[in-house]
Amino acid sequence: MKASDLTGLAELFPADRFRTDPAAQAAFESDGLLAYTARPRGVVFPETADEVVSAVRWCYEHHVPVVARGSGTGLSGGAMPHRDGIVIALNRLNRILHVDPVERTATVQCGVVNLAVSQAARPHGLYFAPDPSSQSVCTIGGNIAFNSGGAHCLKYGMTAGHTLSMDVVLGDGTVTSIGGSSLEHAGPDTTGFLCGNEGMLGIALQATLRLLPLPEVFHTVLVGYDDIRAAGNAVGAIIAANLLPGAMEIMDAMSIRAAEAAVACGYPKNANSVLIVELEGSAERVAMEKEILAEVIAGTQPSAVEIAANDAERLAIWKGRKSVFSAAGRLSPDFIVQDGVVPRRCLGEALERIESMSRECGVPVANVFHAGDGNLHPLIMYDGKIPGAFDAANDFAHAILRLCIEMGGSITGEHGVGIEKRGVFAEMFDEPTIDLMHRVRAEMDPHEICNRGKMFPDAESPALSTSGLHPLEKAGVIFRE
Amino acid sequence: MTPASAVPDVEAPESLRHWTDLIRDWKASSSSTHLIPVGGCSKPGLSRLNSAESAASEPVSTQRYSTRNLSGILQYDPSEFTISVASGTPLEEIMAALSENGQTLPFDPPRAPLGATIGGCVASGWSGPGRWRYGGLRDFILAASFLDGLGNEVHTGAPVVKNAAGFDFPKLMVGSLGRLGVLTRLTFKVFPQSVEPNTWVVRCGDLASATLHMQTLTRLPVELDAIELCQPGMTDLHDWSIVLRVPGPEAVAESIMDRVQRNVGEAEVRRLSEDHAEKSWSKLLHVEGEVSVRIPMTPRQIETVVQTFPSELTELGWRMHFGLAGNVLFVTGAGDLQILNSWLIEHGLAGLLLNAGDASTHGTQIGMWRHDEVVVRVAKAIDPHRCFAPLLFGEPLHTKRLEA
Repeated sequence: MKASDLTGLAELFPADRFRTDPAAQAAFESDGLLAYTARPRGVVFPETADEVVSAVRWCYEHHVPVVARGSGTGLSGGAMPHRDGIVIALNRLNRILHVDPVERTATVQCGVVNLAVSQAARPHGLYFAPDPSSQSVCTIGGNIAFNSGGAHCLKYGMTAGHTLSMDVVLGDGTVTSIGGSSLEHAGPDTTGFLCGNEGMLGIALQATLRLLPLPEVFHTVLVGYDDIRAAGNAVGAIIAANLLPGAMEIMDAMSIRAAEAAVACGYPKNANSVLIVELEGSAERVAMEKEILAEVIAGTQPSAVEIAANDAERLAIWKGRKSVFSAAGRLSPDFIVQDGVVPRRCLGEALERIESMSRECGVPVANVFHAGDGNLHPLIMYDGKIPGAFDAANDFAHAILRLCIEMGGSITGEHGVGIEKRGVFAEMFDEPTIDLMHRVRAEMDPHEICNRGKMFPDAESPALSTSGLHPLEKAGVIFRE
Repeated sequence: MTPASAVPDVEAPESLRHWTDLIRDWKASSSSTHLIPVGGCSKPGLSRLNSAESAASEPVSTQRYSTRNLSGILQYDPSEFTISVASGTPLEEIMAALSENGQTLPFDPPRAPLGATIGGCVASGWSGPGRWRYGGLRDFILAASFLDGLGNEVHTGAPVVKNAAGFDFPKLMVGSLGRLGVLTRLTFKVFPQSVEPNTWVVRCGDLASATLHMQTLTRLPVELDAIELCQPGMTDLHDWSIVLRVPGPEAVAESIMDRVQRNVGEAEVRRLSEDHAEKSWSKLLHVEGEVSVRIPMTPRQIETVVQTFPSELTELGWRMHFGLAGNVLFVTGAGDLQILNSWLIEHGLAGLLLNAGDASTHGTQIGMWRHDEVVVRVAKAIDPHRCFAPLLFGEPLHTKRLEA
């Protein structure tokens, strides 16, 4: 199909909201995973749900691939365009339609930024719990498509657990509403099912989200250790003490070095690894739990323990953690972030084997991870200008994912499969299971226009390799998990 | 409470292989009989033929088979806080194993003493009072293996506490009522048991005060494991009452309840004895009755529900309580369901029949079930030959084309 064949689509939008010029194509050629790019034939900027639906229906009728995109902060290439298709940029559907403090819900359009939901709910003493590190930029539609998590999903779960209902346009242009405003539901949980579909079954137009009471107090502790295994053991000890912190994060020496260089976060000097633990809840419960936590940590041979005395110190601790991947740009021109999951008991062994693999293949790696739920985030560093360097890094990344599968885990905890992990998808799921996923996709999106080429290993998806940080990362606006 | 030994005699394939053969043979047989997998039949209303189907021009029937022979704990490492079990495993067995290690499924799976299985629990989609604080089945299920309508066993999700790979079939199976496949293996996240929980009742007088107080309490930044609203006669003879389960230790719970008291004004707040608390929670958790119905709703609908509830049923002794701070209504009584069904339709509410009573001709789904296009399409993909009994919905509201 030639570019002129998009004429019918162009007629549905004003000229300034249907772009086919190189500048627009270039601006949308990748998401947060810059190692893969493809330029779309065009980009549409709908301002209403009806316009989204019109675009999808036109594309369905003309077999044109569609990639829905929020802010493009995804890290698996899930919003990378298809070169034969268009991008539907959803940022202009950014209205918060309703906040209901009685039912503790917010109904929002898909292009609303994650943090804006909490800001709207705050006057009612409520907030939206999922907190991906890009929450100041990423959209609810993207959170739903990739079932986003965040540092606090250890306690509160992922986006699916906080999405009660949605209006969705399926791949054939059918518009339907699923779920309801209640916490409970009669019949299969289709809202939960569509969360994390990676934009391959349809596009969420708006959603009703569950809000929680704001935690009354936080107690944030930064603990230094001489080696990373000790930090991992501390996580086990905290869980064994029946504590359920809001977050538990570990960073290794290289990650600390990067964060320190970038944001001068003031982490304990000479620590080989740090553990961040955050308790949150009512004042009386946190007061009780912090005593238990102090006792547990004292028994884990820490080299340093620092407790945030106020909000500023708490934010400083988190700033170091949240900046670490973009800070890694100071250590390496390019990097790949993986997010495989291993059973918690395997964390220590997984880290040792990753280090061993790193030595063998000569590709350096830094490690940050959501320790409470076994979600690894190895940061694989390379220089994309050196021939073969990307391939070596990519092979290493896939080897880590295979390690996660071998240990009984998952290839992705929160970033999704996207374009990046589809090569190992079939190693996690057997043939009948993948066949069923294909059958479901065929029912929902008969022409496979929605995010064609993603997730499934046998799908075609033209892409080029490139390098460099996302412009927003360079500006320090967004961070990776 | 009816003991587990009273489970009706439903044929149970001996092994996964037998289940596979059953389904593969099924598609070659008459399409007028649908298969409904069941667990321990502790919620017999959920495996009934839907009324519209039984009245169809080509009558259809259903045949139930139990998964009780697919039983046993497959993997449990307490330090990992996950458990994998065969779908026909009795809840009591799972909860006992977890309890030995100070752990639990914190959403309070109902009807364990009645022989409920974990697979039946998932298929019912029914989470108990603990769902309020901790989340429900949808939040704790991590992986699900099931037999599709072709007899293939598929393995979805992953047995770790965090996973985003592949379509989320485990969540789809929550509330699937055995209509989307036969669950074979399930993995859950588990939590530490709540420390020394105790039970308090806020006597609110009338309904208006009760709903107002409940709205206040649900926005307090304090940990309440459970919050249920009961009509007079359930936990208190004369008053609408809010029943709270507050986790300990004692000093923390007392402090939280001081705050509760300050926020409910003149309403009396009293702690229940252990015996009284146990009886109350048993009633609120298992919802037993000759007829019992679970009806998802929203807190804003409470007053309308109470004001419009058919007086004929009230006079016949039907009772109600609102679970999860008004997110679900439970109704129990005896006799025919027609009046309740009409009332649900009038108010646009969907009901699930947990117990149907001997005389009822109603099916599992009563009231107004809004069309769910996603279920319809996914069911076609999972079960192309319609081996399993279908879910029934109202007329589609979706449109292929939006009107100008």
